[in-house]
Amino acid sequence: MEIKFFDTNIWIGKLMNDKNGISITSNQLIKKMEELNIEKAIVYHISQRDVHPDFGNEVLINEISDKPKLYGILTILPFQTEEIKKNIFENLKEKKIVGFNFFPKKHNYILDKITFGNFLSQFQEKKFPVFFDILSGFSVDYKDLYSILKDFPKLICILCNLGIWNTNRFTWPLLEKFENVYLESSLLSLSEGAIEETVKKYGSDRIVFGSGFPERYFEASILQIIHSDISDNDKEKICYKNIERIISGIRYE
Amino acid sequence: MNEIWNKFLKEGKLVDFPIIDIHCHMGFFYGSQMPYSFPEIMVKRMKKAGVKLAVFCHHYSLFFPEIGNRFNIEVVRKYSDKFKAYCGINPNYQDAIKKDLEKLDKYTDIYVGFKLLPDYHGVCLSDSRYREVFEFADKNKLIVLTHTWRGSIYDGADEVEKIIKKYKNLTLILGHSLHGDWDKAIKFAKNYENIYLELCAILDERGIIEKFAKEGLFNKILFGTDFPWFNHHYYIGALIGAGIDENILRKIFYENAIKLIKKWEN
Repeated sequence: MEIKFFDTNIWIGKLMNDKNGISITSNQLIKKMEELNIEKAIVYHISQRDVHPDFGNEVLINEISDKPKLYGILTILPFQTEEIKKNIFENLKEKKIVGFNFFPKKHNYILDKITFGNFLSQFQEKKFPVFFDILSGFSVDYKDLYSILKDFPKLICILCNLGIWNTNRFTWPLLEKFENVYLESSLLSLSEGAIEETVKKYGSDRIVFGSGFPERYFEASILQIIHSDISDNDKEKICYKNIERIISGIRYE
Repeated sequence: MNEIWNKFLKEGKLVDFPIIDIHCHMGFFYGSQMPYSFPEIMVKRMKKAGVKLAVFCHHYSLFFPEIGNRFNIEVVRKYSDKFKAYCGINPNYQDAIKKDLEKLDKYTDIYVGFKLLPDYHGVCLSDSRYREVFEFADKNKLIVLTHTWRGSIYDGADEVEKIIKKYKNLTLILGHSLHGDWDKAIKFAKNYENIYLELCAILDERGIIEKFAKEGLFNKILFGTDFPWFNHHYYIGALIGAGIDENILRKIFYENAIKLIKKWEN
């Protein structure tokens, strides 16, 4: 059975300090995706994180505009400082923006109801997914997430880069309590048995495929999912159907 | 993509590719859930990925001093074609070490060498509490797998260097290849014939194995995953994804390990 892939966890661009030589352009990414039968990907540009979100968001929109395989997520800052231009939120569908991310530990603010109350409520209503990068240390930790979800229990959260050690003790309580929490698969695939046991307990609807490229290898995530002990139907949901369902549910207007 | 990738993608394992995982464990662990951590299910999972042999040290041998190496011995006796063990060493219990060393020649069918965990046991590699093990291993030309990590006062590069300068006859496998201290790991593997690099916790990061390959260390790299911590297919996919030639992949996945184990058996 040949399964197509929709990758939810990729960044593009050049790191300012690329010790391991992993930086990648959008064109190089597309070439690699074509080699491996990855049909689509959700990406952000590394300058959104490492330079400035307002600058990086524009770079991202330009990068993906002529590349049908790529969709984007915008990075947000607290609106009180007026660093994010309001017009960035116009024509999001045309710009192929399918979600948002936050790097509060890198960008120095608190991601909570005080800072973003109304805005996060709108995300909930419009069903935009929010992508949280756990492992990097630049976004949120599990304690932060538990607190955010207490205030915004319907928020669609895609938890990316879950952690190197098996993270079921952190993530399963969230899957149990919050119906819109999803796990990105790359580091679930790394942990022995984590995909299988999560599917057994919470179903395959709660996992979306991701690779963590260019920091990690596409081939690692693909090989594990393809040969995991779950049904073909579960694999299809994880590899592309779940994220397509989430994106089709976004209320752009 | 290369032929080996297409084969693994289709079949999940290759008949003529008998993988040896040189760094494994077994049993529960306090820090995280490990759903597939007992021998019966581990054997099934290994078969699925074409892993012929797992060389392990049971978590309880390392973390539960009262039990010693009993589980290691029992598991290898039961699944002798699937598992070999490291004799787990806890330097905080010298009496247990003495007993293990005295009995070691009775268990040549069980063990391939010793497993050290200095960061967890809080004892430096060069500490006198490890001396008897290193002297024994050196005298008998045995394998020692030790956890190593950048910046550790217990098993970082400085401690490793003290050991490799002193003991030239044992084979020292640097578990996790001095994780993060890649240049030192490369230097040691290049300059010391008896030093090997092991890949656990490395293949979840692009760019590191590529550094090792660039230095031509193909005969000094061993495949290891900490299984049942980490998944074999994930690591296999990563290593293939690094774009290494098939003949070199074979060395890393099993040929280098076979040479070491045969040396021990002889």
